[in-house]
Amino acid sequence: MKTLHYYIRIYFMIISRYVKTRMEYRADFIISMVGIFFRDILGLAGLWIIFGSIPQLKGWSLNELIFLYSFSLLAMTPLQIIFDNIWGLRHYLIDGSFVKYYFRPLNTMFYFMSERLDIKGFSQLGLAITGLIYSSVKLGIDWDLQKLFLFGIMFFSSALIMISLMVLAGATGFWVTNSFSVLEFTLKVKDFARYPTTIFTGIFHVIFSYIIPVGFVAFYPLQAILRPEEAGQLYLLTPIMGVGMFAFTCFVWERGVKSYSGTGS
Amino acid sequence: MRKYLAITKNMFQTAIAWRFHFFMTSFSNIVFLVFLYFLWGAIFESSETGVIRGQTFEQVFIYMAIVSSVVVLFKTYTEWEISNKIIDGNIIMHLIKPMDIQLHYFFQGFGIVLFNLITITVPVMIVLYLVWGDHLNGGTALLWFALSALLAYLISFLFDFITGVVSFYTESIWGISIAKETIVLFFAGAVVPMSFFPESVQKVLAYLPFQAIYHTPISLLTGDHAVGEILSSLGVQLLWVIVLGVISRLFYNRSLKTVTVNGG
Repeated sequence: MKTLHYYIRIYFMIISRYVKTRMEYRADFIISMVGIFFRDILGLAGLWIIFGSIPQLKGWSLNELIFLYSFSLLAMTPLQIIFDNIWGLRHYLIDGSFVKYYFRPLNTMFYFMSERLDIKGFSQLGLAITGLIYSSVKLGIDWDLQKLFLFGIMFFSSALIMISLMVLAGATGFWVTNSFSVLEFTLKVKDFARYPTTIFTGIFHVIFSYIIPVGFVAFYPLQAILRPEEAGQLYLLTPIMGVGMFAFTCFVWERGVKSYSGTGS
Repeated sequence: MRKYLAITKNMFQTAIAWRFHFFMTSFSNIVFLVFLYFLWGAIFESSETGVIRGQTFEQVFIYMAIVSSVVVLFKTYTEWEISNKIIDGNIIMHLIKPMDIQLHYFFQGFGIVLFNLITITVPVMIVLYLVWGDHLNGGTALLWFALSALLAYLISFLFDFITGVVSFYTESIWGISIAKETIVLFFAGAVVPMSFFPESVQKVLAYLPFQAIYHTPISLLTGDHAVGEILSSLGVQLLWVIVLGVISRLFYNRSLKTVTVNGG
């Protein structure tokens, strides 16, 4: 079993090579950062416009929604920066070059994802943190040690859920080859995390809470921080959801890898 | 015999791959519509009168539902096609071919639009008309809508084309494509309805081409419009088609001259 230390060393070796090559494409780098910035800021603008006409959404104020939005962005950042290669998976599967990942003594998902570090994701990180600070100040949140600890755990768990959703979507490629439409579907759905899950009723509330658990990305965990009196026990499930989903994702990935090599390229 | 069967199998698998893609895209659109239904339902719950900016929940939801279906309709990834050809150098092929490059990509994209129309947009429209028919205009309004949508697609295509051509300068397309997409959708009333924007902003937006892509054609399906008003809206769209058409051609020709093609 390879040690963690070994994997960390290898990771930095691989990404530093990658970052050096990407830095040559300066224009691409800057434009991508700007692109992400526009996408994220217009999302906020949309919220701001909606709240120009209503006082609250399912009882939540604009600043709470900004907090929710920024937290979702933050939860998405590890996915964006570290796991972005999932969008490229279909190209490797279609032309067969994916086999190269079998030949090294490295975990295939690790090796595959390490080949791409998405630097523009840092632009998203910047906006997320800004939004969190802004709304946190506006809401007058008292950040004691307990809250910070809770925030840290929730962030880690939510990030795992986001990563799991996308990697699972991409992993369908092992069976359907071109998983692009599944990835695009998941891209749309993950944005549902920005809103209180209480907007959904009935079967859809169940689906978006427990089956495609966008509710556990931001709403349920943040209830514990923003509205501790109302929160109940549900937020405690968040780390379980995160770790559980990620374990499931790794399992599906391994099955996919086996299945793909079985059918050949 | 085997090689012919291989070709058939290949085509079949290609067809299946495409069918999966369109099924998934339809499904994705439907899920998004469900989301819109709940989101706007919740928004309208917070309004005491049930009317926001002069519109009811049904009006806004139907509008947003049609908008999102038209957004899917117009998504042809043309800018990606063009950009990839520029980046790998194959754009050279278009200089050799006798066909005009814009026409080539227009018709290619139009093929995708037709497929999207049949598999996604029409089914959604049918359901909307069946359930909320009294909120929608029928008859001649649909014909005006079709005409307006065609003009709208032209504008959307020209935006995509220009975006694709930008890769002559930037070597990549993702950032610009995302920026274009989000800006166009936002200012075209596809994320929040036009009526929600502050009055001053709406006035400015009236001078920009974005709303000609989504707001103009779709608004023909709701509310009452005098023929004169419809004609002037179509006229504005046509104007944008001409303006953007000219800009895109000039830009393309200019870019071709300053090109450095990868791989010679």
